[in-house]
Amino acid sequence: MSPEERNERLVAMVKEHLDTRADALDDRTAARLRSIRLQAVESAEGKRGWFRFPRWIAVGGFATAAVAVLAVSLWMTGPRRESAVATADDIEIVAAQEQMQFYEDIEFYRWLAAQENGG
Amino acid sequence: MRIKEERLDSTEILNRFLAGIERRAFRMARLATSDDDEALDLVQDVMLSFVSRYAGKPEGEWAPLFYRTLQNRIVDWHRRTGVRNRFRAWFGGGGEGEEESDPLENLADNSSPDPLVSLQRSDLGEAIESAVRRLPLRQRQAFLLRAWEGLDTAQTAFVMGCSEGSVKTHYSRAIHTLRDFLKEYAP
Repeated sequence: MSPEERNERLVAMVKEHLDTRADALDDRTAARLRSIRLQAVESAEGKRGWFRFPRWIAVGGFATAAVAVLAVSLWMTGPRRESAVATADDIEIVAAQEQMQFYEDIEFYRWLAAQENGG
Repeated sequence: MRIKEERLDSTEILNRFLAGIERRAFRMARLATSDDDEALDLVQDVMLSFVSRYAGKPEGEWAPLFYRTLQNRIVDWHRRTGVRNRFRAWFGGGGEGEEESDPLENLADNSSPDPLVSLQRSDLGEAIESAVRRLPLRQRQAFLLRAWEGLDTAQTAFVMGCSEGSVKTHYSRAIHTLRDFLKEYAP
């Protein structure tokens, strides 16, 4: 008998023993295994109930979210309106209340100066 | 209605898969732990973990994934037990030869009508049981997965988390070790 054949016979002998032992489990162990299996299957059912949506809902939801993100990012990066206040000097003018009044009445002062020059 | 039926079907498929594998899983855990309750706890842990992580995977991938989970748990168990035993040794607990005791060895086998045949079978059975249990962990994993479960080398490598070359080495060593242990009975 070749070493390979001897090895095959040895493996077959051990397998037969393992199968026999697995088939001949005592009632208590078999019952506990059944109970453990049912508990595991039950947990799978519960998990599916909560987390398994139809695939089209998941795909549609993802597509909607992607489009929304794209739209918001385009809107945020679009051309901005020109600000009415362009430089720091302008800000100073706008901020000073007295100067504002002066500029509002500038036409009056011009007219007054013209009158004085003319008179 | 159809979705409900599909769900029932997939649950039934999962149930059948686990039913077909539970006894072997228990025996593997039992060979590793030498204790029924420890082995049952391991199987429970493995089943719940497998279902929670891999039940959604295709059915064809279940067996390697299940055994990978089982083997990882067995390795974890060995590590934990090793640490526990070291602590016991430091604090002087634990009796000599305690690990070797196996309640099955003390059970009488009343199933065979012929006492002589029964004795021979029992002797051979115990010798095989003891030989497989005494195999080093990696050799036992390789042997049980390849020879008993019928996984191929690539699947066994995936389950054991090593290369295919390592699987071949462990398997070959396991056969030689078994032949040594079972010299008296080997064909």
